[in-house]
Amino acid sequence: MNIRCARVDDLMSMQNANLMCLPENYQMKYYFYHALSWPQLSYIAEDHKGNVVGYVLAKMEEDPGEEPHGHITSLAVKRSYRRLGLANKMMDQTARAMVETYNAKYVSLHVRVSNRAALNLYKNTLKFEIVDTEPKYYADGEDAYAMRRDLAKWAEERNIEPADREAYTTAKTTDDKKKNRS
Amino acid sequence: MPTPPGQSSSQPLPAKELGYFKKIVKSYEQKQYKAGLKFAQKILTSPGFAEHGETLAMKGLILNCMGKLQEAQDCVRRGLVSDLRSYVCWHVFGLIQKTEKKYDEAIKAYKRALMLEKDNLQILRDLSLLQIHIRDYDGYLSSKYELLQLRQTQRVSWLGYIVAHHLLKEHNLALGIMAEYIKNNTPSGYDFEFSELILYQNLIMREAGLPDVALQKLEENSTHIVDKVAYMETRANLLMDLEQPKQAENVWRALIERNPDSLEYYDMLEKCMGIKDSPKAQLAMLDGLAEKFKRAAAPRRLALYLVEGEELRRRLHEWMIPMLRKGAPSLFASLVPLYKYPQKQAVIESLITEYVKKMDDEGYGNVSLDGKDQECEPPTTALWLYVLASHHFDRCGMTQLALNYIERAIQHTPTVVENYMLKARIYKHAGDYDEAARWMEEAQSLDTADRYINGKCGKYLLRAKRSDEANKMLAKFTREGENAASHLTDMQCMWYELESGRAFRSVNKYGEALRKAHHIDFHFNTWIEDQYDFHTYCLRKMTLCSYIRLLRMCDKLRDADYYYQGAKLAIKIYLRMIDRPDDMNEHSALIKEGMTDQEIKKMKKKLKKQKELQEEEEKKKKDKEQKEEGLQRGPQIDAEALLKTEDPLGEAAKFCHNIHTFGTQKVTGYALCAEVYRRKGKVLLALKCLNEGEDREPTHPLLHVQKVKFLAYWPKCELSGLVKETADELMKCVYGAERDAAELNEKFKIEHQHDFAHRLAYAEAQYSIDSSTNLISWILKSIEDSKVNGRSLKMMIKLKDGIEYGKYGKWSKDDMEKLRKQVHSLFPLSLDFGGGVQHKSASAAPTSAETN
Repeated sequence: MNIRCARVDDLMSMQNANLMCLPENYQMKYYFYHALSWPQLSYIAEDHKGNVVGYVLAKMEEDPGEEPHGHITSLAVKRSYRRLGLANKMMDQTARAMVETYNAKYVSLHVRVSNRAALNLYKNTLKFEIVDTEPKYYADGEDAYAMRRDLAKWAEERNIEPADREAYTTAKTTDDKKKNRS
Repeated sequence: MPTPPGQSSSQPLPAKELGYFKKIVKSYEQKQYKAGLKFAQKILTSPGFAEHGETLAMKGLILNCMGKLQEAQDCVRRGLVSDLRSYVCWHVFGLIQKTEKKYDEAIKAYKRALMLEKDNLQILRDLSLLQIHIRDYDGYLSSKYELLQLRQTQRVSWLGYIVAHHLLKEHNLALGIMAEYIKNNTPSGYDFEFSELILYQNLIMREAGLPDVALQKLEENSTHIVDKVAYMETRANLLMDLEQPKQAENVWRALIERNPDSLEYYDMLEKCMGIKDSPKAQLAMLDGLAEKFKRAAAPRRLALYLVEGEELRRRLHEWMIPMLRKGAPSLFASLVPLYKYPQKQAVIESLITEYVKKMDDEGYGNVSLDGKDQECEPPTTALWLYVLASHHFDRCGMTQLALNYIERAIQHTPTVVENYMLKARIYKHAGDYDEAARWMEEAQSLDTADRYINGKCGKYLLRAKRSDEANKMLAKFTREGENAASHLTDMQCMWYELESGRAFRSVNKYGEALRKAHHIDFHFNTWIEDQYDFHTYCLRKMTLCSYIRLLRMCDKLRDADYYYQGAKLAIKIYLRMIDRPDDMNEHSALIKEGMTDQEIKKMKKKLKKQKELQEEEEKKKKDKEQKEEGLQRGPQIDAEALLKTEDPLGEAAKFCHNIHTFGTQKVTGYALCAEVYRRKGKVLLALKCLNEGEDREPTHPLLHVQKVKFLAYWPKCELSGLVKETADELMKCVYGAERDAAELNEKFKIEHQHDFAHRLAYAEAQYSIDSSTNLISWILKSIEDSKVNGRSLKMMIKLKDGIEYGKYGKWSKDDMEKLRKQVHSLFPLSLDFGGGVQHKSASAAPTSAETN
């Protein structure tokens, strides 16, 4: 499968894959919004005909007062393309772009507490940690785990250069961690 | 000084009312619509101000935001009539026209408003947005110029002006202004927006044909650019344009290091190295990179294309064994592209057979497919091997073998969902949609939390014409308490629209099928509409390269396959309305040959009553839904109304317009359009479509049918002047010197006698030019002729549908029975030809075919 950064032209196919795989769906405008705000962050895996078989739709959380961090809006791989490591490969590309382009310290996501397959993928393969439970996060009333993967150390180990090194190294990581654990 | 609203009027308001008016404007801006309406009412009930123009305009604007479109229109119009000298009235009138998508009217209104109130920033902005939206680049440029004059310090003014020049291909002007802007606005440190701006500057330079300047600027600004992938890809491409392959090679290699699963990088690397024609060198390069990036699949998979025979066997072995051991259901998917090459397919088959034999001989508990004795296969290897074998034989059309292997897989591990999905798929390919749906339901029941399998199950149920059950199935993953169809439409779910449209067509519910096709059209319109907000947003966000891509994509959005499939569904139904009007009555199939007039009359009466009852019920249901939801969302398209159109050909032509003007890549698309345009008497359009088709695939069977039909029609065309000249020119391109339809058809028959689809095309064309033709026995013979290729089930079903439509002359009951028997012997599982799995319980009860 071919893995590459998603372009505006891929969004229709991404929406299609999302509707096939996941219960959380979005209208096209929301995909536009992602691609036109953070063009570097979303990735796709496509088959030899150019159909999207997996994707990561990602954004930055840009609240002032918070550390810059990425967020995975949606991730899916079609059932018949699992166990090829596609999710892992796409997520690494996305994470790298989050650091290089936006100085992201960590990346967050939500997952249904009942979705054990996804939980397993995020925890064991992608090294996310549960930081919180958000009650009734989903439209049908189910709770979500809020998960996080630290990017600072990961980037350092791989010699990935953050967008703004000075700001990256001087930020108050420890305080934030405390705040988030409480 | 700009005139504030409320004082621009030829009906000036006294102090108290003016105060109310200001409150209306404020309420509107703060989206407090109800309060706004209250203040408007206060003015409109004051003596002498019942028809106060600007108040009516503001009231209309607020009503519009509240979704009360009709009332809004009336209000705004009344306002405009009573105060034609007010720019506010004209501006609002424009805004309302815009929501109605009457863009030209809206632009005119904005311009009238600007004549009354020169330099009004808001109106100028609204005008410029619509201009870019409808791609009036000249208009956009002049509006942006004025905005820049008025607000020289604003960044968006500069950027809009640059974009306008770029879109007009005035690259040098765009670059000149850009340079000026950059000179005054270069940041000292990290700045995402500046990074985007530099990349946009670079895009313009490349499109201006200045790769050397582009490369220089790119490298100069390298520290500012934080989009590393874009930087590297752009740089590598520029180096190649400037014939510096060595340097370019280094960059592509660095990119592969970042992402070794991007196929484009390998392709580019081969180009730089000049090894495109040398498989040996390509292989060495790929092997080197595969060694370096052990987790990457791309270099090892690309190598499979380059080798044959023993070497392919060895590499396939290395590719397949780990995946069989790991239990990757995707193994077959990774091999699919190789099936294009018969020799490679044979190697795959021989490997699979060998593995299976080994398993059978040695027992799967103590076998090693590697031949290394010390290591035994895990028990699941056998499972995934059977699955692979089943996939393989299904792909090769060997249904029985495929079924045997999937049975073995199921026996091995009865709990694997994929096994049942594959079993369902095999039955689907074999034409037994009922059995396919049954097994997909089985698969679904094993994993009810997975939407993918749920969707597949819904799709299979639709194929089995079980629409109600399909909707119930799909509703498990849509908003609670709402029917699945409206939710999926809300979410713009294209596969569902298309599949359910086809399902309706298969049970003669043409109105409902048309409705689904129109939904697809609606979604595409929505997406084009969605651009609007980004005309402002992207100038602020500075994501201009992506923005330009968005504009260009929207200009050719409808060449997407879903649009084509939806349009095809609609066009064919419209043509059917003309050719076979009786079909539009969904019960016409019940009226059988041999019924007496009396019986037919009785049947029709009964059906009419049934229909009335049904309609009443549906109306009730609809009313209820409407009440529950308040205002309805989404497209409001009525199936009955679509069927009642006076001009089906005109409706079909609307879809054709979208297919051919937005440039479909498909030869079949042009063939379909040629049919519609010929019937409409649009000679030039028909010829243009034939010519486009000719450029793509001149021997395509569907194009051929259209060529013959048009050539037979040509002598009846009465043309003159420039039209005639153009037509003659196009005739030469499409037909060369050939002007005889029958001759053209005979030639085609001889050239393509070994292809079933081409034979059918010949027959259809022949019947269209000579209705006394009799090719029935020739067609029947073709079905059995082993020298004829492409006798697939799909083609057989097309043939059967075509016969029923009347494309291949009059077939007697005996002829049809012969057809059924012949196809049945080739495809014993196909329901369409009397086959399929027999169930004991089903044989006791009447089958659905009989109750019809």
